[in-house]
Amino acid sequence: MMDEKIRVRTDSRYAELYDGLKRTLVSEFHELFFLSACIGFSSRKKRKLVKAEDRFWSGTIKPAEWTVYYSMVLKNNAMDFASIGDDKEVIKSIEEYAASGLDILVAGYLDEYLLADQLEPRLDINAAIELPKLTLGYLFQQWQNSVKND
Amino acid sequence: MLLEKLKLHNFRQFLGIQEIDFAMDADQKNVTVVFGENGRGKTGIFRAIMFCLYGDRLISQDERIDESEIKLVNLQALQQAEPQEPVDSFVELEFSHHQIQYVLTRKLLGMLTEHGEQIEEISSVNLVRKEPKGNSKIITNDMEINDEIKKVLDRGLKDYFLFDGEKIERLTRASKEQRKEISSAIRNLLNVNALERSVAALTKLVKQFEADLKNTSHAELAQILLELSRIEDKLLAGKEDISNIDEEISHAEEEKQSLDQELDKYKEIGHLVQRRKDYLEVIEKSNKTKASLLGEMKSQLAKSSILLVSETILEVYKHLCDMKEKGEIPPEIRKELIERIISDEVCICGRELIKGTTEYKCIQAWKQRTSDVVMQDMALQLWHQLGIVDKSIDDIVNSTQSLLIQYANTRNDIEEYEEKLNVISEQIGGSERSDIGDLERQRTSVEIKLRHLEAKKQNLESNQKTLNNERSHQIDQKSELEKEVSMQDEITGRAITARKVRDALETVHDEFTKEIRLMISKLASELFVKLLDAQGREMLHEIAVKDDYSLELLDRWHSPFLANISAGQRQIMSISLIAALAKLAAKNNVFEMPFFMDTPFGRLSHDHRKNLIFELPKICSQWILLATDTEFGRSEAKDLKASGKWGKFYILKAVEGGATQIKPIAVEKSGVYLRNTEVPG
Repeated sequence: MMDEKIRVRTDSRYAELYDGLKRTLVSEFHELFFLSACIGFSSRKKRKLVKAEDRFWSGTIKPAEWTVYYSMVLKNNAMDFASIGDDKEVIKSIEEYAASGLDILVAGYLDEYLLADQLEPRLDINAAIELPKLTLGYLFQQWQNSVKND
Repeated sequence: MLLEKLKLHNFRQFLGIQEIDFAMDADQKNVTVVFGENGRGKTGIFRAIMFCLYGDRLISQDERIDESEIKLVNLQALQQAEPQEPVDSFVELEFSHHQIQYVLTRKLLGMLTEHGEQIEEISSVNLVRKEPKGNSKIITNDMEINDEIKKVLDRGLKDYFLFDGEKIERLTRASKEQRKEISSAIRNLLNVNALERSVAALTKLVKQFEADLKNTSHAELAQILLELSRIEDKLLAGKEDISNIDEEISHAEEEKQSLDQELDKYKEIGHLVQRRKDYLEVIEKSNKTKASLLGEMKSQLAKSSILLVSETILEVYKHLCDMKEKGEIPPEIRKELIERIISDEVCICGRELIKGTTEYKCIQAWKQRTSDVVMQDMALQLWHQLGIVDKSIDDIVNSTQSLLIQYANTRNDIEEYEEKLNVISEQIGGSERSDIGDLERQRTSVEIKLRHLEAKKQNLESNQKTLNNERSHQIDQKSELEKEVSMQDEITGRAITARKVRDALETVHDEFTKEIRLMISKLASELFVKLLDAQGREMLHEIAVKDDYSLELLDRWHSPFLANISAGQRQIMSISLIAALAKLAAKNNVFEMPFFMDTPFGRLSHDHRKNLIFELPKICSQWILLATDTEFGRSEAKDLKASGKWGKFYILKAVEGGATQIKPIAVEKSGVYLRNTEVPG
């Protein structure tokens, strides 16, 4: 469990965006990856990575984040513990959720903070000062909606 | 000089012939009031006198007007005349001076051109001079007339006796011009300038003698003369340095005064500026809080992401709890033990286990329910971790919500205070008035500069003193030497005499001007205190004419107070000074000169007016007052009547066509034409 030596990969198209969001929205790559994965999973969307590149070591992932990743995979595999037996497979599955999650984030509101006329999405750092507040608000809103639906 | 009669013909607003007889009985009634609303021609009368006496078309209030723009011939008279027909106009002034009667007439010709342009020129001027014994002389030569008028009232002095309201206040301003005016008034009135000219001439003479001596004298004497010349040069340079520093001090004082005035304006808005500063501090603090909250949110974001999958976490956690309850994790019997029983076909109790029996089937079923050790550990660990995560969800919700609320409140605060800031900035009005701090810093720096300059001046003065001592010493040595080498020839004798006379005159000059300044200070202070209202008297104590002829006003603790007095008090101070100069020039008798004032009461409080009305007729030989309805009303008229000095009253009345008629009114009936005045607070 919690293999520390896996290279976690992300969509290479989002390389610049990952760097920009690390400066404004989160402090570490694994946090952004976790946020994206949660968004993707809660939307029941995952996307295979056609072109990916190594982003960070799995050793930076916190135990609570691993717990959530295992829960996601378990839930997706009818609670079959065999599905979480291999951490590489777990991470591979989560990478697909994270890719989709970041797509949702870009389409939802991040695109307003992207620089125009760029080949790949690139964040306008000066305009993105309030992103943490915006994203936290989004998470809280989603949670409230889910509580209401219950 | 006493003004007796003014006759105007087609001059300015006055159509046809109009006359004013001035009250001029110095012991009895010596006050004349010419009363008129603004625009009726009071200043026209003032202008007529200036024109008649000096040929001036411009008066002090015409500072920025070109002389050609001032038209003196009455327009209505020009319009009534035949086209391109010249119209006569004149001003005739009768006055007396030291028992000699004068009638001065200055005539003008005016005409409207075919294009409606008004052109005019002075056609003639003549002065009739009548001796007490009856001999008369008519003077028509301009130069002679000017010389005669100069003897009566020099142009340099006229501004002290014939003036408008603006002029009065100007005397008290801390400026180079003011110092020059005071100094020139003292010089002119008391003939100090003659003394100064003598000192300058003698200095020149001494230098000339010494230059001659240098060429003819003994080497040692020449050395001393050289040294003396060097000292003289240094003294001269030092004098110039002191004068330059005085100039700088004056500029710095003006700057300080102007900063004080600017700061006075701020006093009114001081509380607003303070409040704005407070708002800015709140906004700055809130912005810091906002930045810090954004930092906290950044750290919180990964934790809060769990909220999106909280249901899944709960579901998996519940599932694991169920498994645990059912004994599936950890299993009741280890998988390895069951596998050994099955392979050995011997139960743990020692009995044989036979395939196909119920017991064998039960053991097989157990085997199905167990899992390997790794999986069990993993499930247990996950169960444990999920328990922790599940318990933390409430905390995550609370901290997320709290951060969002704090952030919203902070932003609201910023918006609220920014709005308040805008409102208060508008009230304060303009960014150029925004920073008192800058002004105060500037003022402090000017004050420091002033202190440095004063210190520098003191050093220079002390150097001058040393040089003067050195000079005296050298002069003594030189005299000794001159005696020794028997060089007291004619030049030496003359040089010594000239120097002695020069030094003596310098001493006389210094002592005299010092004495004059003290006397003027004393006389002006006495009158000033009389003219002030009770509140001013309580606070203000003395007018001082300083060494550089600038004025200072001292309060009861002898501290400078000039920068703080009101405009009315400034006028009173100036009038006191002029009266003191006049009194001094007349050697404490009543100075035979009129005080001719155009609208002088505008800025005076009721008490100041009242005091002026009672005191001024006693100290001047004649007072002519051109007053408007806002400054001279029933109350002032009542006070003036009570003084027993009011002799003549004229009103300037509008007549058809826009001209003005000068109408004499009996003083007793003045109340009918006057109304109640409003006095500045």
